[in-house]
Amino acid sequence: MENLAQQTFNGGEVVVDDKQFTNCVFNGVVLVYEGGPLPRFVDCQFKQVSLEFNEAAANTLSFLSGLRKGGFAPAVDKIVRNIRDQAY
Amino acid sequence: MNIIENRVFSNEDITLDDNRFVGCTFNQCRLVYRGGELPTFVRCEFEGVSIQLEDSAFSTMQYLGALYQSGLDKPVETALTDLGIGRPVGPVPKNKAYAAATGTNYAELLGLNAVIIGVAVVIVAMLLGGFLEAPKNTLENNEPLREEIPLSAMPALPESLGVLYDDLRTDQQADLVGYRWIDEEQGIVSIPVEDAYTLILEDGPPNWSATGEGE
Repeated sequence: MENLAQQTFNGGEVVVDDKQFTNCVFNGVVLVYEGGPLPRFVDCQFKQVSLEFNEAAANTLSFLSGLRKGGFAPAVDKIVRNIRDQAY
Repeated sequence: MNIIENRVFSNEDITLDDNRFVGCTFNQCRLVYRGGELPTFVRCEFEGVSIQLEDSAFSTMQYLGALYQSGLDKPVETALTDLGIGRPVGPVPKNKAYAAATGTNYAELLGLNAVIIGVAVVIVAMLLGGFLEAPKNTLENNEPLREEIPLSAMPALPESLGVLYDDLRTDQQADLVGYRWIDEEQGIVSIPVEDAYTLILEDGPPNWSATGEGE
């Protein structure tokens, strides 16, 4: 895992897979996750960040979206509830 | 992509990644997805199935959950909503139309209707004023905004244009076949066009530089 400490990111995209961010500041940054090893954020500040998903992560969200439209809305809603409740 | 056709799956785990299922039936199965190529289902039936996310797919859920609990709930909700997965949570904003927000707020409804009717009345009044009243107005010197032109001032057309045309045509035909003076002092005459052809053939083209000769 790559360690990034006390850095300030202003704008642009930051791929977060397999990285540990310690005491970092994210200003207007797009956090990109591709489905790899989970990142860690320790004492970080986030200001106006947005999320983007690529590769396996994007596939997963597309899969869930398709399921929801295809008659599996209750199952997908349960998954979303688990995200909100941090049940994963 | 693997194509799996006309299979019946019962009480088993089915890996979905990179598979195309056609005419399959899933009974009491666990559908496992790991974040690979998206599966497709054509004419499939599902009975009592559950969804299981593993590997990268599960990591994605963990990532979203961690962000949500780290104070980034709004970006997560935005992403889920944009992708058609999540639904807005919390109370419905008052200013947004929503089926559940219908109620008995008749005073507000009455006020809005009064405003709409008032605006409509003003618009109709402006249109009537503009089209019916404004043309009757006059300029400062008491002249009308639009001057009406009397019919007597219009150019009068002859009663019979055909007669005029026939007379003109007859005169032109007579000029082509008769003799007459064009300018007697200059010695210029008009002769029938047939005679003119004959003279040109016999004597050649006239010398136009000589005054009055050959014309």
